[in-house]
Amino acid sequence: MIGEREADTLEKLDEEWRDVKEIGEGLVPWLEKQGLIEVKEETHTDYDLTEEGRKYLTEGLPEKRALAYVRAGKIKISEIPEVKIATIWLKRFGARIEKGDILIDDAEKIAAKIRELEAALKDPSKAPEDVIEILMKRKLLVKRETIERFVRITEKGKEALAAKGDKHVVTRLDKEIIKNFEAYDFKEYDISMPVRESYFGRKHPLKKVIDDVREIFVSMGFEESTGSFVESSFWDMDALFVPQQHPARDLQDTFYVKGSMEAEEKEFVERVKEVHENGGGTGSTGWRYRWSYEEAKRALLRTHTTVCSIRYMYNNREKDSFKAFTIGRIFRRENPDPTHLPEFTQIDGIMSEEGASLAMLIGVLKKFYREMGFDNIRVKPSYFPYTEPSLEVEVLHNGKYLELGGAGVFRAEVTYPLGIKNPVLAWGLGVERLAMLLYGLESIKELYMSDIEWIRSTCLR
Amino acid sequence: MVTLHVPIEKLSLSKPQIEEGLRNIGCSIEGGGIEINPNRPDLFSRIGIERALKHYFFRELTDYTIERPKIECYADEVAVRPFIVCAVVRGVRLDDENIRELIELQELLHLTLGRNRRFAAIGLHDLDDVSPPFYYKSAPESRSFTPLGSYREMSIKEILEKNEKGAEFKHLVENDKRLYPLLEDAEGKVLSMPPIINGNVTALKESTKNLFIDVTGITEHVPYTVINLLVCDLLDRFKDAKAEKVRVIGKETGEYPDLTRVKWSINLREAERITGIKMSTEEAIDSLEKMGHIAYGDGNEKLCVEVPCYRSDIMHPYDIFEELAIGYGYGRIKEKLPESWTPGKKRFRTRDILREIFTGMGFIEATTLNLSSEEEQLELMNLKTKETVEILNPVSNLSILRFWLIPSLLSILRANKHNPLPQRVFECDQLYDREHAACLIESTSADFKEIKSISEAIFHALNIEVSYLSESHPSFIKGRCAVIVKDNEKAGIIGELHPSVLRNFQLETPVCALELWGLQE
Repeated sequence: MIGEREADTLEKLDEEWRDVKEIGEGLVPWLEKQGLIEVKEETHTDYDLTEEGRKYLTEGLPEKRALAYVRAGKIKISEIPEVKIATIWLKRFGARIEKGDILIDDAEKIAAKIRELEAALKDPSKAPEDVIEILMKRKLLVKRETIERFVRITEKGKEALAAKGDKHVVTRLDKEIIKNFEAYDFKEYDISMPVRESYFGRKHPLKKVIDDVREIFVSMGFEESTGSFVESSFWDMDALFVPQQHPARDLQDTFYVKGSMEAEEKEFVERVKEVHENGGGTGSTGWRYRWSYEEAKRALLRTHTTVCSIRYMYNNREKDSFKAFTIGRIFRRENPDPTHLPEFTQIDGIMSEEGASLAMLIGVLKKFYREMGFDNIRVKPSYFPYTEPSLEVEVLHNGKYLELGGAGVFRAEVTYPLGIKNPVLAWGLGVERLAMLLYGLESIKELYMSDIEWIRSTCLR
Repeated sequence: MVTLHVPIEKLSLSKPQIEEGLRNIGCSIEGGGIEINPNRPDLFSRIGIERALKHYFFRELTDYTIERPKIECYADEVAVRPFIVCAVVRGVRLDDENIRELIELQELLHLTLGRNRRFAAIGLHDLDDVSPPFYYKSAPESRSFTPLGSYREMSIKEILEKNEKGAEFKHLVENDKRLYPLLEDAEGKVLSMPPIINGNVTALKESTKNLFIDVTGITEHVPYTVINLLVCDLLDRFKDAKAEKVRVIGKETGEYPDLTRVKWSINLREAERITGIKMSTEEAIDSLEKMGHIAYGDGNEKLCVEVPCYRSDIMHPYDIFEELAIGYGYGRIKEKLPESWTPGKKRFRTRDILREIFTGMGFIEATTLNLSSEEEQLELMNLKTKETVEILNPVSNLSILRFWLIPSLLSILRANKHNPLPQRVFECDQLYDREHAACLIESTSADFKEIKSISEAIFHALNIEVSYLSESHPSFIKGRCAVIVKDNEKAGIIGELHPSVLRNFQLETPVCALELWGLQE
């Protein structure tokens, strides 16, 4: 439905071409886009004299005056006004300059040329093009193009005009109009028009992945756990049966912090020591070395969230069944590069019940990874110091199987000192790697030194 | 992961078979190498890979025989490196390729089981260049010999200072008495100076027929494992070779290596409980044979398993359960689902609510690192000192754990100067052991009133009563900063950042900031 103003405009038009100026320019683009009017353009070329051009029109061209001088026998060049321009043009018209004198063979021919130029200056519209060109080159004339636009109504325009009833057509609604909307018609918009971009607050893509993973865990009956970034080697390593000479405990691989941390749980500490040294009644040979409490007390930045899992297990060791997860920052002493940072985020899940087994672990993992959006999941044997059997999860992504997390049944050497009888299943994976896969990123730095526009414009998934 | 450089075509099996077999036992082919889990040093050579594949596909089990000792080694009490075990392998044929492979195996063992030679260092010698018996003893630093690869005699002192290996490994033998481990023959020719370098006299060459091997360490367990791995590799590598024990005579006298299988007894019920795989005794025996073990039932639920002498990673019945599962095939395992019911439960409710509030107010969430520098956390913020977690062995200048978020968010603004203003960013996360939340507004109109309004909106939404106290803080403009007080404790700070801070972060537009802490999880 066209509005009042549009209708007013259309009413002024018929099949004749009319100058746009008669109806006002404002609505023309819209009416044309709607096909209600037709628009044609005509271009007119005019020439305007420049300031210099005006001067010569009254004074005559410099070469004309120079020619007059020459004809009058006054041939001392230096005396001629505007000598430079004058001589250039006289030369072009056939004069010669020798030893400071101007020599003219055919004065009449040159005079005719000059007359032609002056005539063109007086009335450019009748002048031949080559003369106009010379004058433009001499910056005596400038071209001016004017476009005239003409409009006439189309059949569609007539229809639109006819269709418009007597009602008042409005654009914006207000209280009054809403109250009496029956009395109005509403202007139809061009729905294809471009609009201003809208921004909204956004969660970070990495944290969105973390949120999704938390939802998945909770939906599967898992309880969230957490812990401090600073831990003792005892909880981070020893309690997980990582021997004290293990390379992961080297200064090269783990961040140590000042100070040491006592483990309060004396009885547990004793059992861990036994297990390391000789298996401590688990049926294991142990690592067969002398375990040092001093080494276990060293404070470090946690190297995995599995430390939260082992603390959770300690606090829930009386329970027959539990399911828990932690997602948090961990620290490994790596030099920053496109795929590594010394700090990243690890997902860690554990569960235990009477029938927990490797087969159940595979079942849970397949459910878990499927929830995360991976349909093709397979497992292969792997190794971690604290799980046995251990496995690596591989997911099919863009036609390729990629390793995406480790898992296993906690070793008896881990669960026995805790007094946990049922097998405990555990798995972990890095969130950044997952996020990089999901968002197709090349560098982990894009997640941690993000471009705000990227966060703003990343599609939610 | 350990990467072994073995061209696939050198293995005596077809390519698909190699790929399938390696995957099924937990290795993978990546680029030009085979990736092996570090618990399987028996796979660290072409010979070991072939052996495992022959077990897996053909149940071709090997038993290794070793002859009684003919050679003795007298071991003194060497304080810095007390354990030595030796072996002889006669009838080897060393070509370039074999020497290269043996050196690669030796290096991988040094790095992994040996923990860079500390727990085990290997010496391989041409036996015919020296005269038994051998003597393992402590030598003064003045003692000299020609080290491997050198043309002249050097004193131990000189080797430790000038030789490349000496400099690399001298920390393993440094002691106040300046006495160093040395292995020499009856005539005083030096075989090796463990764990630093061998003598030049026993260097391996293509003409070498008979090998003498020494492995030293600081505990006995690792050297025993390492020498077993080496001797078995050599016996498989050279079919006509014969191995022979060496009697080490010292504080304790022993004849090693012992290549007999290690016997374990496992309970099939227990194996089923852990793996979740229902297997008959026959299936279990077959699965274990695929992994190189000999197994036989006792007619009941017990299975006797004889584990090859080089499989030192088998420490517990759970390890054998894994062997069972791998032999059976991870891909064939029938999945199960949990039967117990447990309630799912999230934590960090406040963090989640705050993130909702901030995004609702049009803020963009940032993710930044906890590892930070004193420069960013203190100096750029005009702060002098603050107690925080200091890292003893930092990488680059990331030497502390951050204690507040505002500097991290300022870095994000600095990195985003090319993007249009205004900018509103926030982050809510765990710092060390507590929850923090912070936001920044960078705009020409950012001021105290704006940030206070945000603070009030947050605490209203959280239904928490707080008051604002004027604060003088070096990061903020004086008179435009306040601490947020909750239950008589500081729970946050708001204000307009000082122009000097803005300049430190190369910002040219006003920034107002809020940081909250001490909120309940």
